[in-house]
Amino acid sequence: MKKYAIILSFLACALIACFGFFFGKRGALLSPAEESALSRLPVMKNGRLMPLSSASADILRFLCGKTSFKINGKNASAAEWLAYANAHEADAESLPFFKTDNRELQNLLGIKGRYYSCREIENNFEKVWNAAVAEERSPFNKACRIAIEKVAVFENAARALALSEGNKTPRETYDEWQECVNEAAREIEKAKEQNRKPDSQKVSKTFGMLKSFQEKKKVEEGQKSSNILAIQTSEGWQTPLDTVLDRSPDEGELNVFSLYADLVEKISKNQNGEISDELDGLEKTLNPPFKIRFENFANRLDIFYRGAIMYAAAALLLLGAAAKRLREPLFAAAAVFIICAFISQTLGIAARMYIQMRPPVTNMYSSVIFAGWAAVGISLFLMFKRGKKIYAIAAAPIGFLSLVVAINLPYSGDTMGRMIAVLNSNFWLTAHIVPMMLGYCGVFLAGFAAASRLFFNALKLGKVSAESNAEFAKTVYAILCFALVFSFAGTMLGGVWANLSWGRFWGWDPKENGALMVVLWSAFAIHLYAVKYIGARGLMALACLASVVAAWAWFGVNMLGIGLHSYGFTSGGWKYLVGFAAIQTAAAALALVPCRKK
Amino acid sequence: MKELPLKIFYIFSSPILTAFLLSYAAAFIFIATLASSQMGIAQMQAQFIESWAAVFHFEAAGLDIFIPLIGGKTIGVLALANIAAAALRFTRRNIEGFGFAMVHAALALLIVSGFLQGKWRMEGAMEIQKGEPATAVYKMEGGKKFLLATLPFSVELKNFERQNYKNSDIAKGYSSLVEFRYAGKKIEKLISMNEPASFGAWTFYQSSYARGGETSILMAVKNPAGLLPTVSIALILIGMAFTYAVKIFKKSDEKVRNNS
Repeated sequence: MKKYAIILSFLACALIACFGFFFGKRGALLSPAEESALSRLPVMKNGRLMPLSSASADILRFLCGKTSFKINGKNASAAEWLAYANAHEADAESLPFFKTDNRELQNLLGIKGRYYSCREIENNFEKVWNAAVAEERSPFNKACRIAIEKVAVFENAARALALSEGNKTPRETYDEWQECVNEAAREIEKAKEQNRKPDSQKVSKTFGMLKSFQEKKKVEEGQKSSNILAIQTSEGWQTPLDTVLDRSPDEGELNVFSLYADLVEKISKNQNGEISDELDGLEKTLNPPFKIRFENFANRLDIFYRGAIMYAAAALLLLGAAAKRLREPLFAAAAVFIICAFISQTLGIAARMYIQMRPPVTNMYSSVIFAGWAAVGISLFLMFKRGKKIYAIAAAPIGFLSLVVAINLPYSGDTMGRMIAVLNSNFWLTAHIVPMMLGYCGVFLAGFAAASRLFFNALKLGKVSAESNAEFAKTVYAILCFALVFSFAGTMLGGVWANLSWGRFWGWDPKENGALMVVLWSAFAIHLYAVKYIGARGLMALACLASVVAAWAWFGVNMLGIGLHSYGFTSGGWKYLVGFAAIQTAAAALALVPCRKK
Repeated sequence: MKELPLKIFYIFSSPILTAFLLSYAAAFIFIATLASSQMGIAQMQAQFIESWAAVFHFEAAGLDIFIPLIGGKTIGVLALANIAAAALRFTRRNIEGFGFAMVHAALALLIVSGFLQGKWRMEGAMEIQKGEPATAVYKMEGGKKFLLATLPFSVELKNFERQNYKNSDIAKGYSSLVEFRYAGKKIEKLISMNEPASFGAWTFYQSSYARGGETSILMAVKNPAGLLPTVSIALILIGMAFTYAVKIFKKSDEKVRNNS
């Protein structure tokens, strides 16, 4: 029975790992081969060379929080969406792919639900703009500001591959502009020779076009970090608009420009099947290096998502294991799922490190994934070393939550982008944050394990023996000691780093305070237990509360929105934090249920 | 009466005091964090951390509520007394006790260095320009500039540079080439993000710039006890590592003994 369960769950994991990879969320516009070819074209965005799939996914994630979108009822990948926005800008404008969680803004736009289109903003532009520039700083004003920014980002994205004016195709736009410029130049030259004023009719069209281009350029300048630079020149990367405005574009630049222009034109004329020549040409000219292809592959694979599914499956199996007769095989199956998910998470982290060439933790997003990974690793180790299945019960939800939180972090922008100058120091970043995360995840692990133990204690109404509780408390104590060492080391090394680079060891910044609270609270629990002022249940209760302190330090302080560390600012998470605190406090209260006396 | 000092010693070394201080400090810092979101970090630091007693004020249901609190200084002094007394009372005189004593002694040193920072540390801003040697260090308080100190030497900006990441407007770093002048001597040093330069008792950090790089803004810090926290932390970490190493060796020893 156990053997079959293990083999079956390995097969299931293999299926999860591959499912959707060959027929995933794409195909609304292009065939899979064309979509792949488009996705792996290299572009420059925010100072980093990346495949088009990453760049367009960044933008789509900023606009609607997702990395794929339904066009005409069919799933489109991010790169397809970008091609669609370039080829059918007018249609794209009326698709609801902007998202807001702000109720007031939803009411103002008259939409039901959270999604709206660019057109809906344009129809109410004045009201939204007034709210955006108002001095007030309510969530509504902020939402309006973001809405305006989204419109600008979308407009830039819609001409990232090719520039077209009005109903003209990109090529027509370019030719017309060249003709206008030449004509205007001839007229001005002539006027100079004949010593008269240039005929305003002959130059007015040029000025009109120039003005329109300049306005577009202004929008581009306003959103520098989110622009996709698709045209490679001998000096660097630029947008099609730059090439149009370029006085003397070089040959390679014009080649890429016209290939993209033809590509977009064919898509706009619904000749989607005939674009392979352009894609081949672009691939040959731009020649994406291995790292770009790898990143595109990693995007396609979306391994964190698959890991999350495996953790969820493991958690479900463990729930099923409550039935005594199925316990053995289900535990074995769950262990396989957790191991496969852990491997996926490891591969995902390794891929990120290779792509970014950075330590595993660079921002809020990656910190959650990394801490979850460490917690699962420790749980797996303890599970096999000590043969205690309870760690599997803690590992599955931690792993799952870490990946789900990471996938859904709202608009925090996992752009793999450059970090601000101050953080640009890999060594100290690693030395400070990795121990910090290990410490926090240790506190969470202790908290979750203690809470589940107390919960089962209460279910059995005091029929658990005091010895087994004491044994369990020893493990919680060991985890807390581990957590104390690492969170102390992480916090203090952060101080050393700050002292070296800013001349200030400690600044009473909310994030620093939070870290100190975790250290103090863990030390509190450990000291009380070590001098035997509290017993097994007391320690477990304090461990539950420690996880509340850690949640405050990690997420709560960011909601205050002040201080040096507000890099991971998230709002609207209060209810989750309070909910988590309530659950853990309730679990701590379960410590009052007595154990069975000997 | 002979017993009174002993009684005091027992009170100060009691684990109950340790537990109270640790849990109270956690709660106190939580409240102080909330206060800093109301009044700003600098104000909070002065009223809560660097004071003997503090009052937390907030409004709830239309009522003004005041909570009196023991301040950060009091906690520090009590913690110092507690650590010293408890270490004397509970340290075992063997190899395990050594790690324990080291961690706690270094912790006491960390608290002391915290007090010394508050006493000796000076931090201010300097605006330096090309062709104008500056000596004044300012402190900003409530939007106003105050003269904090006058340097015994002068600082002049030679060149300011800002580097961006390729094709983006995110700063990779700024740097200032400055010249220090003291008693006829001239020394040039480069100050950049994360790489400060020291001259005399002062250390200068790149903080910001103004007028498109014509003016460079430096943070000037004088901190005679600057190295003390780093030293105490190194000692604490070594002590912790030592303690756990001893524990692990003992356990494996037991295993070997049980097996044989």
